[in-house]
Amino acid sequence: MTIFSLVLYVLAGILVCILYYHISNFLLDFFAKKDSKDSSIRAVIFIAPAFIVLVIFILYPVFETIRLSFFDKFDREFVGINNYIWAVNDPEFRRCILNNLGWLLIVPTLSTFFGLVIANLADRIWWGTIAKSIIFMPMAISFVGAGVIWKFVYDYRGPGDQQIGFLNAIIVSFGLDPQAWITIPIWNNLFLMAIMIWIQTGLAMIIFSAALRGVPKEMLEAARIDGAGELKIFTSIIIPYLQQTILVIWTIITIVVLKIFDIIVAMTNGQWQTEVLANLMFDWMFRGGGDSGRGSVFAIVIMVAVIPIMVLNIYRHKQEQKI
Amino acid sequence: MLDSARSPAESSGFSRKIAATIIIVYTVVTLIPITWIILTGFKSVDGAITYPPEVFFKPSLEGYVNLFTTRSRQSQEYLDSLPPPDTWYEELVRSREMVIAGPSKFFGRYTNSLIIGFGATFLSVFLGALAAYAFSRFKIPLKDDLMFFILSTRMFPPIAVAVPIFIMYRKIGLGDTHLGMIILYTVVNLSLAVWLLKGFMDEIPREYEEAAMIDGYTRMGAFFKIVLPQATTGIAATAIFCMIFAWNEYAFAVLLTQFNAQTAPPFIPTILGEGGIDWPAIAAGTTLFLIPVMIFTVVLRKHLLRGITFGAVRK
Repeated sequence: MTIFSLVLYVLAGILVCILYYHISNFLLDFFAKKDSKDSSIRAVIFIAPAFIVLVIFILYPVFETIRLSFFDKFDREFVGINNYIWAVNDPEFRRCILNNLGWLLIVPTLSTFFGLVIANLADRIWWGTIAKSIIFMPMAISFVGAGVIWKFVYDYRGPGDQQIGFLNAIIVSFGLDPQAWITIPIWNNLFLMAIMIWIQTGLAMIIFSAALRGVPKEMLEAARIDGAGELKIFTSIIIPYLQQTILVIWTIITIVVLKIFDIIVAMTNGQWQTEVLANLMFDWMFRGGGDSGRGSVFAIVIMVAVIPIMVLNIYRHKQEQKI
Repeated sequence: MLDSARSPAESSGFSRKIAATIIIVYTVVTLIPITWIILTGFKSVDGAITYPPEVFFKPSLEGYVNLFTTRSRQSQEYLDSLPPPDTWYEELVRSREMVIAGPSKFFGRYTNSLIIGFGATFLSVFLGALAAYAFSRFKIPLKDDLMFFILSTRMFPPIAVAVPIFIMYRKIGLGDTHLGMIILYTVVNLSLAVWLLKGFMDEIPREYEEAAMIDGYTRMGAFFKIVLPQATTGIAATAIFCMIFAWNEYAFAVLLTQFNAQTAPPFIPTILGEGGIDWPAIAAGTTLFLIPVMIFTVVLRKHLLRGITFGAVRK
């Protein structure tokens, strides 16, 4: 059955493409023959398919989410801003905001920092390229896959019980008691963040090491001849030189962190005070009957949180295009 | 004064030693979780949960056998009455006092991931290339605004629109279908595809297709036969990016698929064995799921750079 449907999908896809090709060819001939220089129908044919799906599956749902947030849990009665008032007073929501802030402060900072340091150091060693490939590897791992992997690192069973966790294997071999890493509030957040840092450091590193090649060699040599130490060179030449790159990486990782969801679902499912906004939203929307009103409120908080980064990024892209 | 022989413009040996130490430590820390899960996949079910955990152990393929089969526990008398096992995996299962009842769902889930991944990749590259070409070549009113609208959908967290999508899919019958997931992943990937491909197409000289059109090609014909073949590298890089996303996506998969179209990510963490979670099977499933993407990513990391930064960093 699966092989059959696979073939069917491929055929259908090819058929649609061929159809699209011929229909648009026909339309282009029909409308655009006379002034073939700048006909707007031409642009429409090329852009329309992409735009139609974006509007149906992203733009419309955004407005629908905004609308739902003003309605009750079954989307029947208009309740004004009651859902928002409820959310502001909800202790769980406040904790989520704090957790999200923690993620936003710690993960991009540490990933960028580690990435920069490793990119900088790896260039000095002959096997640096190999090390960089290894450090980049977690980047390929899906968040939920990473969650499963780290479950094997953090896992804990009761004392004297059977253990599968790597960290507890280490701890026990030093004669200490095994710890239930992901159930210790506050600290467990840091253990979860470590997973994200593990993934994102490789990304930061690979971008930095590309950017580092742009640092003028003469400048570094001049500084060394003047007797500047490595640390001094790092802080007063390399960091200022890479300012723009640091900002780029920072925003990329921040956007990823704002979407954080999978890791927490896989690791704790939001238990032990680790929930973030996306988890809370998911819980309210789809667990226990669902409450589309309250769920939508959290969705909107996430959307609003992304806006500043979005604006910053678009502004940066605009600046680049001017140059 | 040992250092005096060295040119002062080079970093000193001491600082290189520190560098090496830091890099080694970080590399090892990075490798531990990956190594640990690969090793766990080769442990036996009992071996995986011994206390304290074993670093050195006798490898077993039990995890992989359990991943691909469903088994049922049988009494010793029944097992004795059976003819001797034909295959090594049957023998392995028998030694646990069980018989193989049939194949597990893993293969189907893996195939679903492949169908949805390739479908979504193909569609996003196709639609993305069309739009990218228009943005690269034509004069379009409000072009910048349209481009930035597309860019903004990339930064936008897709999960924030989960509710309307969920309701919409239930209404129009796209829930738990391959097509529904393909469309969804296409939409999420489109902005990346458009931006990346536009960058690649900007680098192809216009003269090629203009010459082709003078020779009698239609605009579409020139696009498909002249421009697309020129942009092969760009298309390949974009396709791999789209594929990785569709392959790894979890939130929508867990929300919208249960049986028919369920992909591997929501399935793997739920693999259960006798009396609870079957850790070696989960580890084996995760390993099989991750290896293709890991190879791709590491081999192609130079190309991927451009995708991650949206063209902000070029080589």
